[in-house]
Amino acid sequence: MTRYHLNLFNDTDILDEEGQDFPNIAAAVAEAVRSARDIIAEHVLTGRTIHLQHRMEVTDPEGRLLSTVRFGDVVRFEQ
Amino acid sequence: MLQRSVLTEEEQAAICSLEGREAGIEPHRDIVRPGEHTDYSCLVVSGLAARFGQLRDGHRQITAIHIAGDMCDLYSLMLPKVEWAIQALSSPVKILKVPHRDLLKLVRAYPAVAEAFWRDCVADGSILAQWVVNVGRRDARMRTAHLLCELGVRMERAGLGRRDAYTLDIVQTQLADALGMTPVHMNRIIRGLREDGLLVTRRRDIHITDWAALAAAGGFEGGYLEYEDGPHRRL
Repeated sequence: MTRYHLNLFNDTDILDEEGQDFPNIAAAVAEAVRSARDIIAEHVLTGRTIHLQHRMEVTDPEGRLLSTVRFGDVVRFEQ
Repeated sequence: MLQRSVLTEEEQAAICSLEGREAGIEPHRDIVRPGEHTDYSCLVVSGLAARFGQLRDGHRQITAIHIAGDMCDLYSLMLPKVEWAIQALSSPVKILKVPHRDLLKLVRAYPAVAEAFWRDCVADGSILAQWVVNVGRRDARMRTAHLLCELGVRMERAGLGRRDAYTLDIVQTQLADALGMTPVHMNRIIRGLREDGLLVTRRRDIHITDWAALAAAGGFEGGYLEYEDGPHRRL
């Protein structure tokens, strides 16, 4: 297991100081996607605005950026 | 147990004379595995334990947090094999494994002790009922506030801190698993509660700076943790 940090850049920025353990980067990114969707879902339920450019960043413990997940990449819309 | 039930000295002595096997459990290790057939029930002596259900993809829902003094699987006396599991949270847990046969002997000899155990199971069920409302109907902020208030009251009653100042020795993923949300989302909610002046967190220490406001934010009413007559006994 490797420690990754999932930082949120939303209406407020939340840095993940504690980190979470995942078997690999793919699993950490999958959790970042799940987290983004979780926050978007709450925004929908409470009638808040969703900014598609808001994002999650996955870093290693040294703070090196490994992956970025934009809110706009994890939801689909159709007219 | 004595906060919920009045027991005579003889009954208390009978409980204290139960011989349990003390066991130390490392963090994140199972105390009872899912599907395991147990012939004992566990008293949490120190540390925090959790009951949880797990999906095939590894995601978990914690359905109970047990603190020191909780008999965490009293139901196993009637249902020795369950599909959920009990695990130590992020610090070492000390438990006392009390054999079912001794517990059965005890409750048959002392009906008041059986009632006391029954009352403890009711308390567990009352908390569980609130948790269902939490994950089913309370929004993220409300359910986080509710759980932090509940744990405060329980810690205080167990002599493990004050309701507005206690140590919650668990990692963020575990608290999130109890709240049914992702850790990232939970951190965002806790940040909001901090910014609103409701609480201060420092590492594992929770300091609720405005109890009334946090309780209001969580819709927390502690009645389900109390017993109408307090400790009572019908003679």
